[in-house]
Amino acid sequence: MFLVCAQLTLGCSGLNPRVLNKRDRDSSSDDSKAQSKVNGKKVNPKGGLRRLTRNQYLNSVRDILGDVSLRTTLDADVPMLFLTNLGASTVTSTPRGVELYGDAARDLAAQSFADRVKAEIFIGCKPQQSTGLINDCVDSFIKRIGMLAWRRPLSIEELAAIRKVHLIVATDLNDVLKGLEAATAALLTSPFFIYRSEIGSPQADGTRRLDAYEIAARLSFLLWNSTPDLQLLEAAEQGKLSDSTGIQEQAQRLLSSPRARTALKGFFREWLGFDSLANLGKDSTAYSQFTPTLGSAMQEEFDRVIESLVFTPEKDFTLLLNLQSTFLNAELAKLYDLPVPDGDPKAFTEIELPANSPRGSLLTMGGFLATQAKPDTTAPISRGQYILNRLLCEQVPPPPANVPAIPPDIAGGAHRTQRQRLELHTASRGCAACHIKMDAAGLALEHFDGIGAYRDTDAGLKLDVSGAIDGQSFDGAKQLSISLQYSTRVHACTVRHLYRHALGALDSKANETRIEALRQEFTNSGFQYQKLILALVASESFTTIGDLR
Amino acid sequence: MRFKALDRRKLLRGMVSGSLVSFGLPLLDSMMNNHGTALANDQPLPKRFGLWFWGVGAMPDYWRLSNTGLGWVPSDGLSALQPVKDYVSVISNTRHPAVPVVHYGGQAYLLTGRYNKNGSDQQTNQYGSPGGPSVDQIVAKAWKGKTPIDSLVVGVSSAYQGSCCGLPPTQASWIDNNVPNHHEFSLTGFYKKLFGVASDNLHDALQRRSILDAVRGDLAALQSRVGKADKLRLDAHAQAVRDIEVGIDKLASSQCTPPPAPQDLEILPTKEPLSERNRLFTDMIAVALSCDLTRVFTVQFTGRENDTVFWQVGATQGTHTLSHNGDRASIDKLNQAFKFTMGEFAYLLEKFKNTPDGNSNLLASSCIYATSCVGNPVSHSYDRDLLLMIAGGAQGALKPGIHYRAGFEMSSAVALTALHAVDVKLPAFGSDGMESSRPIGALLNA
Repeated sequence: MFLVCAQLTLGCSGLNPRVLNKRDRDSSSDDSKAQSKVNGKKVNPKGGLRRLTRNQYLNSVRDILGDVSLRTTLDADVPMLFLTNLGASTVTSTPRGVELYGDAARDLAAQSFADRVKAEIFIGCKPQQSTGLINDCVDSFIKRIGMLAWRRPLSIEELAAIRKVHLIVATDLNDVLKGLEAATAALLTSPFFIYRSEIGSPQADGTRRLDAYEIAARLSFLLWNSTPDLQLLEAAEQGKLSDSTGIQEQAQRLLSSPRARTALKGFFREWLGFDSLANLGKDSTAYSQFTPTLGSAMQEEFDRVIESLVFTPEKDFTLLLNLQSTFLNAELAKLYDLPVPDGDPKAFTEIELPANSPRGSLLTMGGFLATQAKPDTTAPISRGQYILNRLLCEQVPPPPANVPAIPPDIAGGAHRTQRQRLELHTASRGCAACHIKMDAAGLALEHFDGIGAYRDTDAGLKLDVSGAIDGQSFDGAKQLSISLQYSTRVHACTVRHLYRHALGALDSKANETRIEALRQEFTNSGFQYQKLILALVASESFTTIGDLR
Repeated sequence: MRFKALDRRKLLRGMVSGSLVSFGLPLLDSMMNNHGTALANDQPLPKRFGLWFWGVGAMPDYWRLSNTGLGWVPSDGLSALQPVKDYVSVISNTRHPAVPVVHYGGQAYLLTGRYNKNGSDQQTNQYGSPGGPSVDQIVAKAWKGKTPIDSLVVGVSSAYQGSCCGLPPTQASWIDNNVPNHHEFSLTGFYKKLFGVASDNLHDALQRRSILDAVRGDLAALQSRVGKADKLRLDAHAQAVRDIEVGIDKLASSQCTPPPAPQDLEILPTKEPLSERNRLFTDMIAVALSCDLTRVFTVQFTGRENDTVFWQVGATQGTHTLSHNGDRASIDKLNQAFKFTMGEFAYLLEKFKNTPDGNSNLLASSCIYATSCVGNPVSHSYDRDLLLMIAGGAQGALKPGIHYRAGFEMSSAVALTALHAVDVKLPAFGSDGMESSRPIGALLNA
């Protein structure tokens, strides 16, 4: 028992707390100069193969083939630190997963060729029906689909191999369209489609510079979560991605498309844990107000807030923790105790938050509060852990073995608050090192119940929502949010998540100079998120890898 | 003595280069020797291996047995096993050393015998997850190539299909360290895999083979360019492609009579059709084992630390949540959910018992290792209070129907016993101080 808690204490004392302070806002890290001396190989994270996530696979096949549906389950994504893009750099395909890639490719190709009239439009020319013949139309089709699917032109040998598939099947079935269908399936079954390669070629300083097509794909998967379009591939071919200006131009083009909104919202949902609201279940006896439509509404609120913070020109992204307005429909407005907007109850309206409203932050959004809660009550530990993990990028060690249950909320007929329960749980066990941080942040949010509704008391008991993290004290959700809004650690953590997501690599101490430089640029831009994206894609880390994984 | 007619077509299909290597053929009477105890060429009947997993353990007071040895008397928790208890051995009181992670350490040890030590700096969420192949995949690897499909892995409850909440993947079956296996959650997808390859569609097979030819070339080209870690990933991919190519022939010559094709059922998170899905999957598995499409299967009934809602017993919260609630009513619900779970395990055992295999039945041919990820759900203990079971006869290798109360054995001795029963005689199972090199003799026939 003693051993168990000692482990936990050690885990948390190993963390290096820095003070959360407004004055930190423009300060720079002291060790940044020392670290810049590390050679380029270490400063740039490693690269290699990144397997398409399920969403990237789906988006890509739709961009390549048009209106098709994925009727096959694929291998599950394996997220690392919440991000599927990060896990995609290390995930290994299972035997069944590989089999399913083949099944999916043949089914998707069959869908594209099911209707002969539509198929000929898709092919773009009339392949001669003389069986099995390789002709210009067949070639141009394979080259075009190959370019989109493999995100680069096919080599002569590669083209020959796909032609061969076409020829075998077209001859066997005496049908040129069947041959092209098989060729399409072959392109989609290839590892060149399933894995994005970021391999580059070696440079004098030991790093590897990505080639133009690899950079195009990095850009496209970051901003559209899909395969590059022909325009981007042409830019690569014409050498327009050889410098940061050219890359930024294309990034701006991609950002101006609605597709960037969908793609980036997907990333924010993963990072900030808003990706499972559609399946959120609550105990109907504890929360009769909760419905599946309420979960979806919470998701929509988050999406719209993110969209407005990222896509409104010159908007300060840190306002996520200090919102003046939010987007609500009737059901959510009712939960938030705000005036229900006029008109269609399902429609979302931007609503100014009154100064005396307890809302106005990511941490007071229903989606966060309901997800980081139990089915029938709040979960201050989860909420606190979320703040440490996702906003401060501080990892909390896993709970020790044989951790006892948290004392119940009712004892001897009397109700206990979460604070009372957690104090009993941690007080006598020496397990407080981690809990002290998690619990303080989580308990500050106790005015919001397990589905995010405001409450004055917990079953009649007065709530104490004061606390401190790293010497910065706060009283309640709003003060906690604002102290986080001004924290350089939160800003750096914001940068870190984008960096991990975009590069598919975990940041290490060696990359710290890059993170710090990006944080500075982000700060200097007044925290404009698009400026952060543009700074990242223009940085050396985006075009150069240190080594092969 | 009955004379067994063997028609020429079956004979030809069964004979390649003079030895019997029939793939996907049901073990018809005509393929057996006169007693139905072995194949016609005196090869022993195949053993089958299964892993049956449920999450969140079971309250020890609820399942604990009062007597040991043969003829154990089911407790309320295990009452559903009454009709098949002569085929089930219960192993209690085994031990584990503690590892520094609670939610998934038990899963790592009970299924794979080792844990992932990567990321001990807490930088990643891999630390403490299963650190090697799970017991089912150890057998699948040992028996690789004997049947068209190496192993079948299904997931019944869909609550947490893969990863959740920043924790490592929850899958029961693991191919290796950091490689959770694909669990089939789709009934129709599973059916298609088993019975969807039409034996007469040569065009289809030709198309698949020509595509795989091209893919193999691409894999080789890519492998020459990548770093060490990626090369290993592509090796796994390339091996899978080779297996598919071999499997195309084997499945196409299969003579399995498919069960009726299932429909996918609507799944609402708080109203999952657990029983219906479990039974449809189980029925398909029984057919696949019976006609030797595969010899290894895994059923993940519920996932590790799952929040499956057992609405069937009136629960409104998931089992993991119930385990943390700390009140009596929640524990009662947990118990009922466990009893229900054992009812579904019993369904599989009865199904196997009623499926003929040679002159005996499929359960007598099988060895099924059943485990959860923890012992006591409330304390999440996995170093004590574990309920482990080995079901089936393994063609006479197992002494079934025993309650074995361990004196000093590590939990890994149970997995090792199951492996030895199916002749996968590893010298030891597990590592890091919890390995066991001694199978439990009381459960094995010499």
